[in-house]
Amino acid sequence: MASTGASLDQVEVKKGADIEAEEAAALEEMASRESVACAIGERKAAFVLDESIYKKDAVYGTAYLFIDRCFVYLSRPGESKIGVELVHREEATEAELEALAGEFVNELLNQVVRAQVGESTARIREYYMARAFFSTDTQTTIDDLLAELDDEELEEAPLEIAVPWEDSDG
Amino acid sequence: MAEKVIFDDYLYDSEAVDAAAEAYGHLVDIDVQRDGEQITVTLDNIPEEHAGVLKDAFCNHALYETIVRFRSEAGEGVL
Repeated sequence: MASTGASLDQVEVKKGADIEAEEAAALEEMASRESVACAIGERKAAFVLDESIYKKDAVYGTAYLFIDRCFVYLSRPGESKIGVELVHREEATEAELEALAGEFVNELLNQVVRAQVGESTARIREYYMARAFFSTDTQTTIDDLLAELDDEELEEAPLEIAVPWEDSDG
Repeated sequence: MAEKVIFDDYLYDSEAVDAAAEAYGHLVDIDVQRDGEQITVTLDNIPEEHAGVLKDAFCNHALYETIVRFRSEAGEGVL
């Protein structure tokens, strides 16, 4: 019998307590991680993004959606860093500016996830497109359907004009 | 009254900044200088009625033009 590569006794079975401890450690690590720090000024919210997490493409995608709502200015405070400055079009309270920055970062995450999903499903999309356009099976099916329609039409035609006279006369 | 804006050419397309300068040229005197990775734009003789927003609006326009060009080169739509 061919070996499957790992026997059952090699599989590490994690107990409930271990999983809980791991989850707690992960949450603690997430909580200790620096979040996007936002500086609030007059009509202005500014923060710096790490480009290793938020790619330029995602920042552009988000900025494009916010251009109508506020003024957006991008800067490069350091290597792999993108500075974002959002200037409210009118007077705004600190809470409104914080909300604006929060919405921007949320949309940014949305764009990042969208890009990742796009990348991870690119091959299967290409496969389906190729199959839809170039599959001979599909063409055969269409040919069959057309032939079927022709047959039906001929059955309905009492004079069967489409039948050559040589064939109809025997 | 003059205002200066510095764009990083990693984030702002040079042609996009020129396009923004062309679009705003009828409102204000614009000087564009390039030095290494920086594109420095000086907006001069800003009309008083636009003093509060012109610089920010110019930055927005430059970013918009940059994004459109970036997406076009990547073969994608704007959205």
